[in-house]
Amino acid sequence: MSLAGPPLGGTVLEAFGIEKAYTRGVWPLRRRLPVLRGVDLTLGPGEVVGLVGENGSGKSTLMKILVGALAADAGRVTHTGRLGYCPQEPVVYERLTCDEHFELFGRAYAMAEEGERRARRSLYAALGFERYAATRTDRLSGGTLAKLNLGLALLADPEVLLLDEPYAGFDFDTYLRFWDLVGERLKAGRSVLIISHFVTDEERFDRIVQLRDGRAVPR
Amino acid sequence: MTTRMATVTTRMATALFTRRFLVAAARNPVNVMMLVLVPVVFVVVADGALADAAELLGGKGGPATQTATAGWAAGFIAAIAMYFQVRAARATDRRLVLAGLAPARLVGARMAAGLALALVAAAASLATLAARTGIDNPGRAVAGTLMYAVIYLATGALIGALVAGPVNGTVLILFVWILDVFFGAAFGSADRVGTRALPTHFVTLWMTDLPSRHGGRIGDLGWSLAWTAAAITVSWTVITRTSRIARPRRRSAPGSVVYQLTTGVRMGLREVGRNRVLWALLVAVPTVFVLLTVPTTPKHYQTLALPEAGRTITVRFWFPDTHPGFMAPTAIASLAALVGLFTVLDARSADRRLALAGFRPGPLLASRLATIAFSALLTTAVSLAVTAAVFDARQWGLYIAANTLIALTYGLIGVLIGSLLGRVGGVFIAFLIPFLDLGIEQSPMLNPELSALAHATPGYGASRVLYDAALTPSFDETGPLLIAFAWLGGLLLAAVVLFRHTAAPSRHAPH
Repeated sequence: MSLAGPPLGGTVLEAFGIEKAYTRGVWPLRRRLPVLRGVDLTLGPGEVVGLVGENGSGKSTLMKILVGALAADAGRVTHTGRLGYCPQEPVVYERLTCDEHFELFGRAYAMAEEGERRARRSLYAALGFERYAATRTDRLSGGTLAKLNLGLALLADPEVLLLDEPYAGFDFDTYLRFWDLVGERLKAGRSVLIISHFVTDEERFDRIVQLRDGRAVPR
Repeated sequence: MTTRMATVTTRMATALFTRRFLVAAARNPVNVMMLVLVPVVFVVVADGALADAAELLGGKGGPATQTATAGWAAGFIAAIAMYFQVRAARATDRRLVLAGLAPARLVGARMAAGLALALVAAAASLATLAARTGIDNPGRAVAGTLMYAVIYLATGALIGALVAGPVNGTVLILFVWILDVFFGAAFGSADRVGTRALPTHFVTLWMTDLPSRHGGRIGDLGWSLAWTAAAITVSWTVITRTSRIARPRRRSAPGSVVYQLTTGVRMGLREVGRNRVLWALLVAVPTVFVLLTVPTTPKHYQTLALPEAGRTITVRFWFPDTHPGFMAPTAIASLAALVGLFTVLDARSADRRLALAGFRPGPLLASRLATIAFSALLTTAVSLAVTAAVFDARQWGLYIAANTLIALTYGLIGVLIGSLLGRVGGVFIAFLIPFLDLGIEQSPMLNPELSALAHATPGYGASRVLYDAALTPSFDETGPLLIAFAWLGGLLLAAVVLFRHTAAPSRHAPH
């Protein structure tokens, strides 16, 4: 069994025996394409873990299962506290503004209005996109949309952050600001799982878990 | 005793503010002069010429049109007076409300002052008219002039709330007034479809004793009073809004159903409001669709068997006059289905993310359905407004209700089709089903006898109610109405189940 867990202490997120296969084609040529074959993964408090793997290795599938967006065929996921999820592609309402998205997601996270506004201002400042607060998302550049996408995951300061290639559209300055934000969250005891392709990120992670042949292995 | 005293004090306060507003207006001598001078000059100089011009352009002309000039003069002055009241007093009115004056009292006083100014203008017009040509029917002339004044008070208030610059505001009032007067019923045929929506169309016809023949059951006087009542409502709303102050909002508990629902509905309506293409389509498609049926319908009589007072009667009707009323629901259903389909599909990914973040599926679905219902009702309103210009239902209330039922039913069908078939397949089906159901299976032109399939389609119940409302004087379709409600309930249930399946996140066990 491959084990990819924190060396010491408790956990805030645990996944055991996660299996997932996609069905391709139509009957009678239908076939199952296994992607995850029993993934075990744990995340400790205050830990930042990188999730790496080849294209098509099942990283985004695993993250969707961890966050509850996709049902696993087998296995179990447990977590403590709130989950914040940043999908790989920005998933937003195209005719609502950044401000309106924060308001809507603030309601979803059950945040008080004042707290949501404070968090929103802080994210605008940290990621540098306050001037687009009243801009509709279908009129934002790719980079700004990526900032909003990330901001929606960070808004409620969740205990566990699951980020699927969150800085794909960022310039270098924003990329550094992102890591500053992650650093602040880690200091506050939050845990972060990030799907990454950047070799240069390796030193920033406490651990790196690799998906290989449908299983999680330490790297 | 205390309550009675409070009521008396309230009335006194309203009267006091009305008096003060009028005194403020009277202290500008130009105001007083204009209030009297403009109507007098207008009636003296223009009534004969306008009556001649109206006759030349196909109108009735003569003393009847001269009577209308009193209304036109009073209306114009009332609009200008109200415009300046609303513009000039906005800041001070807010200050009064901040100081503790009840908004209703302020609005009452503003409206009373506006009405008093309009009365002065109306009195000046009517007195001049009486002195110059005499008035055949004084009661009708006075009531008509007052209705003009009230309708234009609302015009002035509305423009005052929307247009800040006095030049732009007064030019806009003049533009509306010119359109209303010179393209209205007095200058040409009373039957022109395009001018029926002008604000004083029915007032002019009633005042000049020229029956419109399209006033329906409530008649020209009924429509005139409806316009007047709507004008009072608009004035009240506009003045209330312009004098509104910020009040601390009552807040629901964070994360509660109400908290999420109100935000979800608000954001959903904002999204649909920003979809300009959709708005244009919701207005343009039914307009073109309904109006095109007029010239393209075969010119012959048609018969339809319908229940009436416990027995089946055969109703014979002139098909071109009735066909637009039968085609409107097809346009409404097609658009409602497309709105349902695209609203759900466009929001699906983001809805899933929002549900993952903690938004409850119930309020989320309610937000989507509220958006769809809003769009469906909008397209119903537009379609029926257009239809009313070329078709006269025997029971308008029931006819509107049947079309609304069809709109909501097909909005939900769009939701289901979108969720099950996706974008491309869904669009085809969303177009196809309303045409097969309402345009073919339920059509009395194509199927004088309903097939078994027609009884099983979603539009059956509402269509039976619709034909009953369109062609007979009383309601006899209780069974089909219940079937229509059953379809609506069943579709709603299916939409809830499907939405929960597609949008709700899979739940993890807590530690």
